[in-house]
Amino acid sequence: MMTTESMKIESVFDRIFDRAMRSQPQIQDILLGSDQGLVVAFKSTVKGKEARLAALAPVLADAGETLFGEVGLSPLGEILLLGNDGTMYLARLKSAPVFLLIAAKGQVNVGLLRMLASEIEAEASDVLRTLLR
Amino acid sequence: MADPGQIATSIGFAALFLVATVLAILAYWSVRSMDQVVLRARMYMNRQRLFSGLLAGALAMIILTIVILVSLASTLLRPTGSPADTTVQSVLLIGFVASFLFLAWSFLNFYALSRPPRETTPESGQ
Repeated sequence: MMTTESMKIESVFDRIFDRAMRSQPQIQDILLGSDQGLVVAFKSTVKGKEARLAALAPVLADAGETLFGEVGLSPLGEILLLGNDGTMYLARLKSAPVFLLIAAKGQVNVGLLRMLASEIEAEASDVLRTLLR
Repeated sequence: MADPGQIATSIGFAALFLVATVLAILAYWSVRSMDQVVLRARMYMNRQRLFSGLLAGALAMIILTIVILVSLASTLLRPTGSPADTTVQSVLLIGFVASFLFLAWSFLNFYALSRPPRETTPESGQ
C-alpha cells in the first residue's frame, strides 16, 4: 500500500518535472530536496548526482540567508547562480520545508526559468500537501 | 574467585570501553565512506554536532588528565605501606568512567556528522 502510494507520488513528480523539461529543453536537473538535505524527488538528464545536489541545496540556502542577513536584507527569497555555461535556480517552497533546485545548461531566459519554477512549486506544493496530510 | 561486585564492575568497564570503541570505529567508517560533497554539506549542516563532539572530547581529556594527576599525587604522597584511600579511589573511578562517557558522547556526535541533521539550525551561519 505504502509502496503503491510512493510510486504514485513519484510518477506525479516525474510528470511535473517532465513537463517543465519539455517546455524548457535547457533544463538538465530538477530536484526537490528536504531541509535535511535528502532527496524528495528528482529528474535529471544525468543520473547519480541527486544526493549531492540535495545535500548542497540547504547549505547554499543557509549561506545565502546568512549573506543576506549580514547586509540586513533578510529574508532571502530565491537564489540564482549564473555562469557562462548555465544557470541554477534555488528557492524554498512556501508550503513545505523543501527546496526546489533547477539547473539549466546554456543560454536560458531567467524570467522564463523563474516562471517555470513557480509553476513547479505550485504543483509540487499540492502534491506534498496531499502526501503530508 | 572475584566477588560479584568486582565482576559486575569489570563487565561494566568492558561494556563502556566496547561502546566507546564501536562508536569510534563507526564514526570513522561512516565519515570516511561518505561521498565527499555530501559529507562537506552534512558537516556544514551538522556543525552543532561538530562543536558538541569537540567539547565532549575536550571534557573527556580534561577529566582524564585530572584523574591521572590525582592518581599520581595520591600514590606519591601516600606513606609507604599504608592502604589507599577508598574515597580517593572512588572519586578516581567515577572520573575515569565520566571521561569515557564523554569520549563515547564525542564519538557519537562525530558519527552523527555523517547523518542528515535532525533539525535545521534556525540561527543561520552561527
